[in-house]
Amino acid sequence: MADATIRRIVGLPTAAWLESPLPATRFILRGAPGARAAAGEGFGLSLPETACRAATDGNRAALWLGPDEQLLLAPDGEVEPIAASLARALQGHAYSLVDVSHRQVGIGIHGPRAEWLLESQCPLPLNLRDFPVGMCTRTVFGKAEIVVWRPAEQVFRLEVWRSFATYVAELLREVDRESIA
Amino acid sequence: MTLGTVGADGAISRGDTVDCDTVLMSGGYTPSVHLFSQSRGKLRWDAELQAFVPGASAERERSAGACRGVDGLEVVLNDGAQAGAAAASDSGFEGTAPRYRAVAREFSRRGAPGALAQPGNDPPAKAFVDFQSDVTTRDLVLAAREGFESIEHVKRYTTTGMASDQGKTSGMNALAFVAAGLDRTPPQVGLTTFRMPYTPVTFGSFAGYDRGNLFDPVRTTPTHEWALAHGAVFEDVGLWKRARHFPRPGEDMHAAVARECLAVRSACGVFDASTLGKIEVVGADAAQFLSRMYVNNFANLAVGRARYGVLLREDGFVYDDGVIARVANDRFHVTTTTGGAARVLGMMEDYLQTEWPDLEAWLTSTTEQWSVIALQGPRARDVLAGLVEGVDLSPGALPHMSVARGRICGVPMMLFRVSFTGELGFEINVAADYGQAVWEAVYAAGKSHGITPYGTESMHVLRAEKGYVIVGQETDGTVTPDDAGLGWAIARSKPDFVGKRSLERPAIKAPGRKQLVGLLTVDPATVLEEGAQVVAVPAQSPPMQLIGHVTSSYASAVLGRSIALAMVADGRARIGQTLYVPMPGGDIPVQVTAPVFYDAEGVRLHG
Repeated sequence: MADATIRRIVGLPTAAWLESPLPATRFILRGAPGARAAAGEGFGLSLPETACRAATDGNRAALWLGPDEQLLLAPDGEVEPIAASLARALQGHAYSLVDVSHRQVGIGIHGPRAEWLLESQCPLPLNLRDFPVGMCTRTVFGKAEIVVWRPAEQVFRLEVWRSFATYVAELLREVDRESIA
Repeated sequence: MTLGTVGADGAISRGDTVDCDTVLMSGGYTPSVHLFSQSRGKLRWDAELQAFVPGASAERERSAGACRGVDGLEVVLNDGAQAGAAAASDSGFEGTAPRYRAVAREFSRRGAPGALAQPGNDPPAKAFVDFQSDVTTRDLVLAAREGFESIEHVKRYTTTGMASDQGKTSGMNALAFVAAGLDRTPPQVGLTTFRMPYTPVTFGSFAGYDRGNLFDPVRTTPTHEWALAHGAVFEDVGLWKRARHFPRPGEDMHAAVARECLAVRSACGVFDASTLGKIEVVGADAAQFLSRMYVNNFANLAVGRARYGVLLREDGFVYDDGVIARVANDRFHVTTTTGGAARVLGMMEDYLQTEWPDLEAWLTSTTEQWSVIALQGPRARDVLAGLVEGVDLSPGALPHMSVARGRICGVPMMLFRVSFTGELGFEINVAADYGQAVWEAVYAAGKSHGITPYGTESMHVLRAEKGYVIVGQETDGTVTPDDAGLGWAIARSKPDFVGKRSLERPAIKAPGRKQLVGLLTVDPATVLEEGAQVVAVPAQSPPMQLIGHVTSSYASAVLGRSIALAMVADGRARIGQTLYVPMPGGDIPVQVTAPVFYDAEGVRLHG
């Protein structure tokens, strides 16, 4: 287990509706079609088959990012056991599993204004009809690429590459600040 | 000022005379069809309203209220409500339009577009039509007489409608007047374009949030705060902030870079290389895939070893380069240039999806997963020795161009034995959250060995002393591997790779191509200007015959003189010759050399 005392997590601005950063175990799983079903066995939940949908079970989630690409999320510090479990389940399958736990930063946004805050700088419609609970996609927020996922009606989770996280969080705060004034 | 009343027939009856010092003028009333027109909708002439109104739509918009020629407050409100309800219904939402009641004093559209005749003047020779540009009916008559019959031509001839109101007050009146004069209907004369914006827009609105620190994302590496605290001067590299040099009090950049370079050559230096692009290529066909992408062969690269790779475009010109390490039989760690990270990943994904979907190989960007700490110099191994666990650092176990896994400061590490300085060198890769702590540990351990943090400027000098090219500095999108002195990297036995066929084109093999060489000024104190031209014959008058250009030029502290890299026509055949760099102050004589200035045998690299 890595030494927690020397870890330095990206520092981000704070707000009541902003929960960040969210350290996590993260993997990008890519592979041939059969790998997805097999990986579900190893990860403990069926990976989504439908485009732009997330599957969750307890504190684990799998986000569909592309026909052969899934983002797996789990609590912080589980890289080794999950990698081992997936390797067992995927034996004989053609796939790629890459640890990206530190590549990106999780940013949670919640509350009645969450949808509005995100829509301000995101070209996609995020209303409940066009972007229902359980939907996820890669898109942009301002000038940064993000993954956005809606786990609940008034809860969004962004996954942002670490060097863009400050920009995204500060832009969210700026939008919020202006709309309050 | 004499007042008058406009009759139903357009005739004016003379009224009172009043004293005044200000006159407010109105262009009359016409629907504001700008937004509709800007959405590419077709306007329709309504003869009864004597106005253009929205006709066929191009977009799924709806016009409601006064902008489509509907009058009266209550009518307008209900028209808007119904249009909104219809739009919602067509989008799959339910709802009905509320019914509004409004009591308001209604206004009259009485009047007609055109210019009013002035009592006593016939024809109305000098009525103002464009109040801002002072265009009168006389100007419009002249335009028509000159043969400008399209309203677009009339506009440009008279400047009517070209002021800041963009014809809002004058457009319809000018059109109606010209049409009447030509005895045509307004649609036959045409309509000028409704350009955006409808009203003047402030620059602030255009800028929105794109200002200050939100103008662009500012990307920083895990050691940014440490560099800031240690006085780094930063430079922008794409969106990244990279430490350029670490001046001590009283040092300018030249002095700081000289000190940093000498430290790397004599002891050791530490450098943040985290911004380099990184791509993990995984799958049974990963080696095959990389062998098709890069000019090099990767099938015969052993696990734990690394190779310098050159990536071309289809046209055979150098696109990117980097070190590619085989970390497992089916797993490669590919590095790209900082600026090339995104486009190389995109290019690779494109080839995988469109050309070779049969290959079992998948790409994942790991650029930001790793913090990369380069430790370079003859003492680098001594610094590392007390820090790493599980890695044998001896030259036999970890030779130049190899990679091993181990731990540092208790956290997992990928350790590369690589060098972009020509010295014994390592690149420590740790998960990004540990980057700063590991950097600090390396720095502390290196104190007794003379460790010196160095920035991108010293990195540039150190690699130039060794003749290592930088893609985008020595290359400019028209340089082949052979031009850049990288022909050795090409695995010629391979059946194919991206760009291979283009390298067989006659122009690519013809003599006279620019080749990478070194230039040494006859005066060792003279530092050439990057981008300067190179000529063979001095004292030419323009147009001179140019045979090359300087790509990199620095003062080298370890050599005690200036050095330069250049791309020169048939350069390798000119080694030993004297050429000239013409500058405003006169021709600077330079000696052509091989592009490696320091430790040409590479002894230090393998230390």
